[in-house]
Amino acid sequence: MVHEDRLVPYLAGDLDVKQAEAFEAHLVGCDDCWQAVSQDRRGRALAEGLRELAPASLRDRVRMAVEADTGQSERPRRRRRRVGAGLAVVVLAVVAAGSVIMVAGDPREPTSVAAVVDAARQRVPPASIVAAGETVILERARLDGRDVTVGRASVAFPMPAGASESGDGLDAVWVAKRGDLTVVCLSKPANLLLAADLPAERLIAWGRQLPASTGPA
Amino acid sequence: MTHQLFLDATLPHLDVVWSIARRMSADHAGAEDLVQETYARAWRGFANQGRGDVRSWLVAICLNAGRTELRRGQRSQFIVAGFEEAPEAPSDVDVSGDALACLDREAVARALAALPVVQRRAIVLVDIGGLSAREAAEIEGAPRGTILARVHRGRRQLAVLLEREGIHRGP
Repeated sequence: MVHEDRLVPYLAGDLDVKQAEAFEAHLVGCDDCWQAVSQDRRGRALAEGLRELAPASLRDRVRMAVEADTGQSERPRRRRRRVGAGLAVVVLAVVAAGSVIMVAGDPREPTSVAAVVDAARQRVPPASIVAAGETVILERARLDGRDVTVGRASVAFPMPAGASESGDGLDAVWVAKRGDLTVVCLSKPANLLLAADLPAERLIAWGRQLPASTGPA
Repeated sequence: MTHQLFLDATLPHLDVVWSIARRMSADHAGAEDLVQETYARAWRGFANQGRGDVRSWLVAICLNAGRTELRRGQRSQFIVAGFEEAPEAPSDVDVSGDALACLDREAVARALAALPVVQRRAIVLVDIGGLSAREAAEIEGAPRGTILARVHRGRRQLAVLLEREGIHRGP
């Protein structure tokens, strides 16, 4: 017979020193309680083994979602699978090159822009996505040891809040920062959106050299 | 109320929320959705959160969000709040240490899912979520002693179930 009335408080550390010593003396002679303590400790170790570190991308996803959210309760709370109920984040389910998927966007961030930024954060492989009805071709490249995500579209990428217009009067349309990422929109040689942890000037110069209709690699 | 203030207060607890969400969902995608929903709800309610413990507040939101999803029937694989299905067993068997550890984890997850709901929830809160018995008691609306007893009985069952599968860990 297991003496739970004392065993459970003993395991919880609720007994005072004298009570604990008395119960430990009891344990020596009580096989059932001894086994129960042993099982409790094994079970605890097994359960604690299920603790997991959150994926690094999830931290970014949550942060981006919260930062993009106005925090106002009037926002519709419909659920958006993989987008987060009531939150404004784009999450891509791209799994293979050439696949076409639908992307839901942040009401405040242009969907196509959010899609490219999110693809850069999640290192999404080359793919074709549909954002706000427009097809965006996602490509990836390396530049100065950094990953660059390139989005190509048939129409210009909308200028999001917080972006600044390019001052060179040439083909750079606007530049924005999204966390560590620099986001550059070019109109030539194509409607391009580049996202990378690199200076805007470097991305602009590199982007201008890209072919008009094929991948950047 | 700034986003940054909220994130500074809540992101340190992301691993706890994630660990609990994983036990409430059968796959990563479901768990990620649940974590994001948890943070969405938390952000909306942050201004009214007061000075209570942020971690147990987030855990309670996560459990409630999981229940809501279950009621909506959008995911049938929830395994904590009235689960019916256990996670799928891994299909590939590799002899590497990592793979064996993964198999162990799957076995532990299945055993946990086989426990009575109240015991499972207590273990998720205390052993996986790292909450104190008092914090778990507040969330569950049960006396602290009841939570301690549930945790104890659940651990013992877990050990017995896994011993049958030849999986041992701990003292």
